[in-house]
Amino acid sequence: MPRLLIVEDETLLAEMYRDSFRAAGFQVVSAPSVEDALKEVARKSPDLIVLDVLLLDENGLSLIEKIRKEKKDIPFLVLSNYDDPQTIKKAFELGSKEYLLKTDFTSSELVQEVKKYL
Amino acid sequence: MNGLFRNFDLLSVGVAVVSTVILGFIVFFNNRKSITNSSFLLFCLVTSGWGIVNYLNYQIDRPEIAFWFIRLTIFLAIWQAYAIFQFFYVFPKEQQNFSRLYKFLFFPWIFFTSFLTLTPLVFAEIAQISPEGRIVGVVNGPAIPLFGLTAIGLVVSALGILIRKTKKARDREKTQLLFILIGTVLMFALIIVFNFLLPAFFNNPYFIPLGAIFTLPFLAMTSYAILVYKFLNTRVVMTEIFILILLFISLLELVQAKNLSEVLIRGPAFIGLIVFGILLIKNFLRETELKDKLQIAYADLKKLDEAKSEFLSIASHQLRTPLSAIKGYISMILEGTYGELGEKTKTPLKNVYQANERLIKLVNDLLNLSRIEAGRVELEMEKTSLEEITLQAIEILKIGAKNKNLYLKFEKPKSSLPPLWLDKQKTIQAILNIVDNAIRYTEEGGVTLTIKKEDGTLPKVLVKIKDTGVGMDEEELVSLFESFSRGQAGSHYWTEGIGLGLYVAQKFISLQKGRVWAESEGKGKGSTFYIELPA
Repeated sequence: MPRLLIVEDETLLAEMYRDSFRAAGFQVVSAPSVEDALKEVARKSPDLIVLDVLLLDENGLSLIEKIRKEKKDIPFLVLSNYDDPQTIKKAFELGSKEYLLKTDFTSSELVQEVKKYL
Repeated sequence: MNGLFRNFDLLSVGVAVVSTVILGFIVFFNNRKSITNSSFLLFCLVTSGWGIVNYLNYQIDRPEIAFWFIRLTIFLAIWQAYAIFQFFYVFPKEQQNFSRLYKFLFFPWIFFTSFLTLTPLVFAEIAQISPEGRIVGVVNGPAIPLFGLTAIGLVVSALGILIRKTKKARDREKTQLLFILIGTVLMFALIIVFNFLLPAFFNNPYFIPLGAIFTLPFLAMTSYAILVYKFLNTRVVMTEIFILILLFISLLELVQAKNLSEVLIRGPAFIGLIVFGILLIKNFLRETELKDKLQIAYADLKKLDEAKSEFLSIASHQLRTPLSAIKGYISMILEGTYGELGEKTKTPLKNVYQANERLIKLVNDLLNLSRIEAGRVELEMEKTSLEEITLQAIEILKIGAKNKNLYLKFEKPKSSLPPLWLDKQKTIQAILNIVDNAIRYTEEGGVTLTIKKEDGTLPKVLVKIKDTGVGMDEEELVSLFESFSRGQAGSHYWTEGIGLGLYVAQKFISLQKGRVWAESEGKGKGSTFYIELPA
């Protein structure tokens, strides 16, 4: 069962994604901040990180920078409503598989997108 | 040559005096409202006057007139001491509120003491005249201690203030004050050595008339301290040097004048050159000030522009977040994730879903509009197949067309097109907006898309979107691509839209150096939209 880490600070959305991916057969953990996400990664490495950009403590992409420093090559994709062109560019430079806008996808469409990278 | 050396002291005093006046005005014009700059100008003007009078009193042969010049020298000396005191007192402030003590006791005291120097109470009379007719000694009056104490008191207080301020200052201000302190020490050292020690102990009064020159180190260091941290403009510095050279030459010519008519010509020329120099430098300073202001304004605008861009992204993020939750949850409910849903419940939920989709589109359209109008649209160009983009757009819209019983056809080109250098997302959006618009305004029949390559001096690719819809008249065609334009049919056929789709489509294509236009044979005769892109 693939393990997903969803990094999302909006409780409503985090719960929705957890329900959606669990219904599709994924093992799901979620974290509202970069700090909590790092703890989850240290506890057990996920197969894919689904990451928002605007988080409680810092920019979500800093999570990837920190993970890369520890030489962990965990794949990730960005799922955000923040469509700043510079941020999108940086996400792809860091190796993001995709930069998805939340409002573009229903839950099942999102599951299909994520499955492409597992 | 002999004339040159005989007039060398006049030349050097003349240059020193003129430089002092110019430096004073340069600093003053740099910031006319600053009390520091005004006080510096006051010191420069008084020092120039003192330098001229000090020199002249050694050139006059008639002792009684020379004696008045001596009195004038010490009169100006009091004001010079006061001016340097005030300068150090106010430096580096722009505004200064002088206390009542300063205004109503201190200043009147200076005024009174300076007035006394013009009376026999300070220098009573000539004591001794040399065989050459020069005054070599004067009889002191009863107020000489008052004069001495006032002058020395002012200078010592000024130095005390300067040293105290230098010790307390930090960073840039400390550096400025150090420059001024070094200049002040050099000035007083020169004056003490050449105007006091040499005459008093070595019987050498030759350098006394050159007093104006000894103030130059202080003036140069202070001007540098004031000006260098406000601006550093090579053009102004070079112009100042050029003006000084011209003045030196002009003064040289003036002192070498052989007769009155030459003096009458060269004198005004010299004065004119001084005025011209001051005006020229004043203009350069104003220009530099404007340039500095422009640079600050530009930097502020850039910051505002970046803040606006960040605001757009954050605002769109905040608006989209609840819409994402609604979209996600409703889609999950409809898909049965939370259990079987009754048929009666599905329809209203689908309506809510559609309403939410409208809101999402509205937010996207408004965000695009804001970015276009702010000039913040960035292109991500890549080699792309236009056929694939068109097929993607059709795939997204085919359900909408089917729901209205309309056909949506793509007639592929006979030969495949080469990949084009395009912004994929924006091109898809443009095609989507135009095709979606065509579907909205068509009741029967459908929409056909074709692509063809057009050869020529500049090869192009043309996407044609032809519908069997309501058509347009000339008037509607003119304003079709304006923002918030919906045409006459808009209020009847499509109440949901706000008239941004075609505007955004045109902007996205024109950013890629393409063109969008529409043609129609009239009402009820359908419309054809064209997207032309460089190949």
